[in-house]
Amino acid sequence: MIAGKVFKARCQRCGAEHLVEASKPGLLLFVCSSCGAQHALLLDQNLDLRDLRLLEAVEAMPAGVYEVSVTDDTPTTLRDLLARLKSGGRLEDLESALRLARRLGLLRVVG
Amino acid sequence: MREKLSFLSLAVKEPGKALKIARLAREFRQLALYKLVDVLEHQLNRPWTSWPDKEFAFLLYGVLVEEGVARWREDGSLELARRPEPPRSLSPEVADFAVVVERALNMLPEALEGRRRYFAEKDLLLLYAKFLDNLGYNWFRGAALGAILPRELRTRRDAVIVDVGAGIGLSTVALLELTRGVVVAVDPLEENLEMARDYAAVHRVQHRLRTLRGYAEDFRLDAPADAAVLLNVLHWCNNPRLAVRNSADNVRSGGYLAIVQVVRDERTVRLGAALTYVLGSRLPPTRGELLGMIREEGLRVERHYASPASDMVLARVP
Repeated sequence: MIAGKVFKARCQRCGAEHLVEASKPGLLLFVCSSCGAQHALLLDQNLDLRDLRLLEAVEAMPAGVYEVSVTDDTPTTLRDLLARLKSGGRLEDLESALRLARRLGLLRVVG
Repeated sequence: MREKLSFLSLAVKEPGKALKIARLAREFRQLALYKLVDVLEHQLNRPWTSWPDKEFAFLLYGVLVEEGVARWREDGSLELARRPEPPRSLSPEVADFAVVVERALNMLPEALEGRRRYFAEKDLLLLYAKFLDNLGYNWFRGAALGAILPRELRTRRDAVIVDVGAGIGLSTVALLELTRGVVVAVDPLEENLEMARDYAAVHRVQHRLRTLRGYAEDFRLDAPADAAVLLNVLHWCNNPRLAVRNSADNVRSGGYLAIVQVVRDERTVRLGAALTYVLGSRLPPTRGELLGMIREEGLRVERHYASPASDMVLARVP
């Protein structure tokens, strides 16, 4: 696995460009520091950006990059689903899964 | 039908899961009991009758005696028999919830004095919500609903089932996974209903979910449902009797009212009941009160299973 990679992400709402550093493949949540818009980033195994999608925000979040944290205390009904999400497997209802993760405190800042 | 609810049958089929559930339950009991004694130790020389909230005091004192950590004195006070061991290692699910147990039980003396403050800190409620989604309770929800709901209701695609007091949607998801029809989640808080919708969406069953904002005591469906389900809801209602009546009123004639409810006759639930009481619930009804309020509404009880975790009643609406 590559140690870390910096790439440019353009906010889909305000157009501001940000330098984002990622060290793990899979799905990340990126919050634009200019306008607060939330985006889903999908990175492949080479940490290349495969998808950048604007999400409908539920609650404002501090700017930064977040990943879904799946630990032993993750609610059991969500564990498999969130693990799949974390590894980059696409859930059809991505926004619902991220909203739940956010509300249950399962999003962890990674950058 | 009863074997579905047997923990032993789970242990035979899925020993790993059963062991983990048993460990979670044991750790939770240890933690709660240790904290309970820690908070009440210096107040036990007061007879239970001297506390303003006598009913709660009697329940708590009873828990300490039943768990073997205290003995009754003649005047109704307690003598500490042994100090519970501090919980040594906790699984992450219980460790996370330890904050809730700690803060809630710190408020016990105030609750006993009749000054119960509702537990409204959002982060702790979220921890509580997360804890409710634990392996044991999830297994029990599915097993209990599977045992109590008639097969024809579960398999019908046109059935409409109301989940009264849906909360964040854990019982709703259990119902959606168990049935083929539409489930209407009813809860007074829009935030809870949003979570219920999200839970249903990640389980890919949202197309069969409807939501309705309302209290168990006053919600009104557009058309009567085939069944109403109340899963451990009555002790969170201001008026449980009215909740039963209103739920039955929203069910068509010949439909079902299914109630899964902790009752305080069962020793195993009293410790948990004390905790939820401090968090803002009522004390759970006794088995007699539960069956009484169902029968007094003119409903015919068709099935009744008693288990150490909850009682399950299926009643027919006349």
